[in-house]
Amino acid sequence: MVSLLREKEMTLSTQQEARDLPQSVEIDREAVIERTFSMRVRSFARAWGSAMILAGLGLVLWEILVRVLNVQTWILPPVSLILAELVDKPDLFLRHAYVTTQEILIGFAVSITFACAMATAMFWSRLLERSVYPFLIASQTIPVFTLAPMLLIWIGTGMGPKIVVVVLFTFFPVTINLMTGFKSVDSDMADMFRTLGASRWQMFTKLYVRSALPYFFAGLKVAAVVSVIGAVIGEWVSAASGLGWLIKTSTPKFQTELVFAAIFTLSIMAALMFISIALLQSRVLRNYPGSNPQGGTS
Amino acid sequence: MSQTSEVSSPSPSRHASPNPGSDVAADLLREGSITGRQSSENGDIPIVSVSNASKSFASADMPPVQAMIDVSLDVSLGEFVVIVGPSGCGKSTLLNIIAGLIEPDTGNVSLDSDIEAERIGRVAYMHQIDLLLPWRNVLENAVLGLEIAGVSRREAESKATDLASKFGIDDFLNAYPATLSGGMRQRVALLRAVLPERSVLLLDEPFKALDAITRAELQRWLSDVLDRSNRATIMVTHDVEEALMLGDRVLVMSSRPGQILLELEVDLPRPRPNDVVRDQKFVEFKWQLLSALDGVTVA
Repeated sequence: MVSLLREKEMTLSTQQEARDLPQSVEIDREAVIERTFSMRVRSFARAWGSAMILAGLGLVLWEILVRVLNVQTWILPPVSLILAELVDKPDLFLRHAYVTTQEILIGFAVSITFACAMATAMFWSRLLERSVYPFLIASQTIPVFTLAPMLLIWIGTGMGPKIVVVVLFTFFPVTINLMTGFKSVDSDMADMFRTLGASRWQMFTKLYVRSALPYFFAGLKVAAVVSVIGAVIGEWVSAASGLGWLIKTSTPKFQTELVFAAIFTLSIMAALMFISIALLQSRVLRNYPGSNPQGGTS
Repeated sequence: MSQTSEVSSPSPSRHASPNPGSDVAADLLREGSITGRQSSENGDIPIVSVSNASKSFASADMPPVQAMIDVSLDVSLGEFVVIVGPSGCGKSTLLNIIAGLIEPDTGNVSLDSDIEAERIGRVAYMHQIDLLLPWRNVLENAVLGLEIAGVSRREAESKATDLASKFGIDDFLNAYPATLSGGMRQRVALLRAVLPERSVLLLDEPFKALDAITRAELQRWLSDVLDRSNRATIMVTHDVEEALMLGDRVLVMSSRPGQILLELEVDLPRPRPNDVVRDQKFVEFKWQLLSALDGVTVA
């Protein structure tokens, strides 16, 4: 049921609009597609344009200041040198980015699974919620960075500990957001379902899950960003590859432009994850009012 | 009680008939699905029965609030009963109790004379606000009740589509609630409520959130669209004219704690045109209701 609906909602809005028009106005249908495409470009520019301009200005300022103040490259390299590093050694960065991406994606998948299972279990059992919820909160007071070396002792040196660190960073925002989503369901809506004779399972799938989706996506976005930090911390403690490892080993060698190039790569990875989730969200939640803060980039 | 419900049935001849059974039959309007004999049989047994129900609500930092005291009400199949009272008088509490969402502290409530049986899910209930799911379009919203009841998607959608034109929403089946006007949304909400074909329909100030013009339009529409022959309808409102436009019987409820102050048979003919408000009898009824609401004893 849910998947069926989602499939429906996944269809592009332009196609939808074009299809809704009568067949007789064939030319106008083309015009609509044309118009909505340019509208999309414009709304994308509106949503991201100012941020991109600001980023560009910042990078230019960086470049100018470093050159004017004559800063040593091993202290802070100019942007041009960092970009040159990226262009010069694409296979190096791609190889390490590949490792880090794997850790992130596996960790992310584990987190989402865990969060869904956890939030669902707590939805069905008040007792579980009351007893586990405080520990969920408490878990966030543990500095994961200090735990990472212990993971090395417990799990070993493979990809395992890195994935665990990613999970430790990402499960919390997803779980808490899902639970908040379940709790935010309007009690009148729930009553309406009850008067229609809905079972608890039907209410869960048809009301609670659907209502919680915007919260779920908000949690995913936060998790996407912190997952990169998690992977780097995991690699910091012990690794033989990955962007975190690259940064760690290059810093003592004063290969500063390599360090920054790796940081740039990490930022781009985080941004890509965030944007993919935002795009998925705007597709899935196309009909949720006010749930598309990007204002129709879908 | 059963006698009351029969006499209350509107009569096209405008006179209260001495023979309640045939009177109802004559009035069993458009669908004509029920014969006079059946309806008089149905009329003997109230389908909704509330006896001496009281309810109070306790909250953590406030003294308990007595929402309603000693309310009794019997409604038979084919009847349209309106409960009129000031805002916050416990009218919604009464509907919630009948729907089975809450239980009374004291007193009994039964559907089909069965006190033991669960009421939840057996009564159609339309709330003040439309409560449409924003992520479903009109058709998907309308079929929700059938979907929950396990009716196949195809059958549910064909049933909804069949009724959609009668409800005046057939042009909007693919629209999403956010794009609809308040009146349209209420129509969809009513369609969702009636599609599972329950024999009891509860309407909790269904037009409260609407402007006066839309409201008058929807009142007329409601009396047209509802086939009252095979269901008992209980509507709650604070609007005296609305009550008299729609009801076969009007009950006046006092402000908190809610009690039934007056019960009035509205033997005005149906359909009731707009200018029924100028009818001598209508004015008389209205005055009686308003007096009761003011706390004035009516002779």
